[in-house]
Amino acid sequence: MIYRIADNIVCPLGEGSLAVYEAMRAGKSSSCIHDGGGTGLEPYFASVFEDGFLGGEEGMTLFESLMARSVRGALEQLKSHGYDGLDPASGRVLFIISTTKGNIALLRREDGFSKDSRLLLGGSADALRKSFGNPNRPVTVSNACISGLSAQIVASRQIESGKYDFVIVTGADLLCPFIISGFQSFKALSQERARSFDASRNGLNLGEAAATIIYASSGAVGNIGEAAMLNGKYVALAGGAIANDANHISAPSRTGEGLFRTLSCLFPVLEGRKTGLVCAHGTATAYNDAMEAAALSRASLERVPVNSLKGYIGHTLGAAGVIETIVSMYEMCYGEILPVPDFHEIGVPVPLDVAARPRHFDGDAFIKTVSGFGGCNASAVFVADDGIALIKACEAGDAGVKVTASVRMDVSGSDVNDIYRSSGTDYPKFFKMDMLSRLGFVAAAKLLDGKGESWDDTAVILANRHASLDDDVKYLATISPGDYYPSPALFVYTLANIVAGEIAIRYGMHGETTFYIDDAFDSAAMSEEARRLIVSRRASKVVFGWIDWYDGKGCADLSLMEKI
Amino acid sequence: MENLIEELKKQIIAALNFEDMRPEDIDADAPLFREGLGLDSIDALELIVLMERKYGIKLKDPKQGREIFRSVRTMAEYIEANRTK
Repeated sequence: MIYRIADNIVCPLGEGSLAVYEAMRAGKSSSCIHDGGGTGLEPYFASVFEDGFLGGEEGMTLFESLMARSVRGALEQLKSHGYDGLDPASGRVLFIISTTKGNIALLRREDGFSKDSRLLLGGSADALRKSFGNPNRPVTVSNACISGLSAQIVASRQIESGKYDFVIVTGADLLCPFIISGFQSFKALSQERARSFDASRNGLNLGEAAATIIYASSGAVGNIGEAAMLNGKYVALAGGAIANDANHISAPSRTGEGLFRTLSCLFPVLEGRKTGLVCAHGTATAYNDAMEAAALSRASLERVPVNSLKGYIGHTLGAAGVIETIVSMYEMCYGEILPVPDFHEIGVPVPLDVAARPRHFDGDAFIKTVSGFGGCNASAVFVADDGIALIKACEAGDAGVKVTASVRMDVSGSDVNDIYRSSGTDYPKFFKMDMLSRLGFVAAAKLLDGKGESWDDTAVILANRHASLDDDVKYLATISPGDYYPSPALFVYTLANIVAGEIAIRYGMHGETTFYIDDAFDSAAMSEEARRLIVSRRASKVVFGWIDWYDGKGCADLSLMEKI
Repeated sequence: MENLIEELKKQIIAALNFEDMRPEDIDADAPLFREGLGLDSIDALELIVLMERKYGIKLKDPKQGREIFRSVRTMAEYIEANRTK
């Protein structure tokens, strides 16, 4: 259990969480139709900042400045509520950022393999923490569209480990032709307002934004007192889970397998609570919304009121999980469920109780769900209470939990293909994968083949430095003016977490898949996270380690941890 | 038509990264999805890109692809009837 003590949203609909919540209550939306502006893009319906709204601060890009602005607003909110004891420069504070593409707008085709360090997502996290004088190595979560909720779940682990009193979680992404063209190549975008769960829904809207939640340990929130409350309630992240469909890298599982598994993990936390709302991902694509309905039904949650906020501010990618959590917190504490804009008729196979009009929020808990490319899903329970629960983390013993196999490979492109061919494996999708995933495939084979039959609840926790920069450069070449044919098969691999999804699909792993970006392999920290996943019974086995690919060369350093 | 089918086979192999496949390995009448070549939804989207890039055919609705992409032959027939380049 970790406590929200402050929050902030910066998006085209407004600045400040309460302002954004009130704008949504008033039925406002910041999404509208935009033309391609000669870039090759088809017209797109999206929520974008007005020209001049974003300002670059010294030594920071627009993206990094936006994140800093979002953090400052949250810190100011806490001060304005009467608490000025949180020093972001303290060693007891950790920064976690959640983003899918960071500074990707800076990538230029003429640069080839740009050495611009600003393209490294970890560099943006570092710029942010430095701007607040924070001494700790920041954590960067890049887990496709579940990043924002993943980052909050990671925050709870960091605080519960006892190393930090406060974690500042910031999710952000800015739109640019790179991102918009990729979603258009997937035929995923609507040219009208997104109508989540509606029978006439025909695609998603994109949005840009940054949002921050500051979380505190139960001990730290006790010192802050009422300044940490939201409209008279303490709000806490009571539990969360991540699981993989192990089905396809872009198509959602028709049975909602991964999302259902995450929801199942939440049942113990929901005991004794009344769940007033499921704030769904609700992208308004045909398959996502149907998948979510299937998962909610399997988890017997179809009678809980459901909404989605995509119709107000679009799908804000790495920020989505953070923004939508914040707005749902306001709905819970102010007692009103926001309706799904333009929802008229249920269009999913299960008769969900979709909020078509403003409703009373009846309960003391809500569930936030998200799903993303790479087959990943996350859900979490947030609760509102009058007091603070002093819960001491209780872990099962870790006797017998150990690393049972490790593999390290330093290779080039042709090496990876040769290793695959010499293995005699017949996996038709191998050569469709990008090089990072091919490396993951052969390294996982070396690590796992012959070591077991059932990998069902195995987790995959990976990290690298360059995310998907190789693929980013290749994809950019497909959207050149005058030769504009964006490739969906390349675009999907511009999310680094896809390699974790490919491994999960190969071995039928439905456990957590999480992807971090870091400067270098922090073996001790990842090993500790793997151990915690096993002792908390979130996974029986964990594949963890480093997997990087850049400029034709790769490095994999993977281990298998399990309870013997 | 037979020339177009052969040309299409080569383009499909290149566009969908069938690294170790030759045109003669593809049966022009075999299903492209599930059985046959075992293509998936991303491959279908890549075929839409291929049709636009090589033959100037724009498919707005991916659902149209279900009929067009039944086999290499059905794809060739559609291209023959609708190509703009």
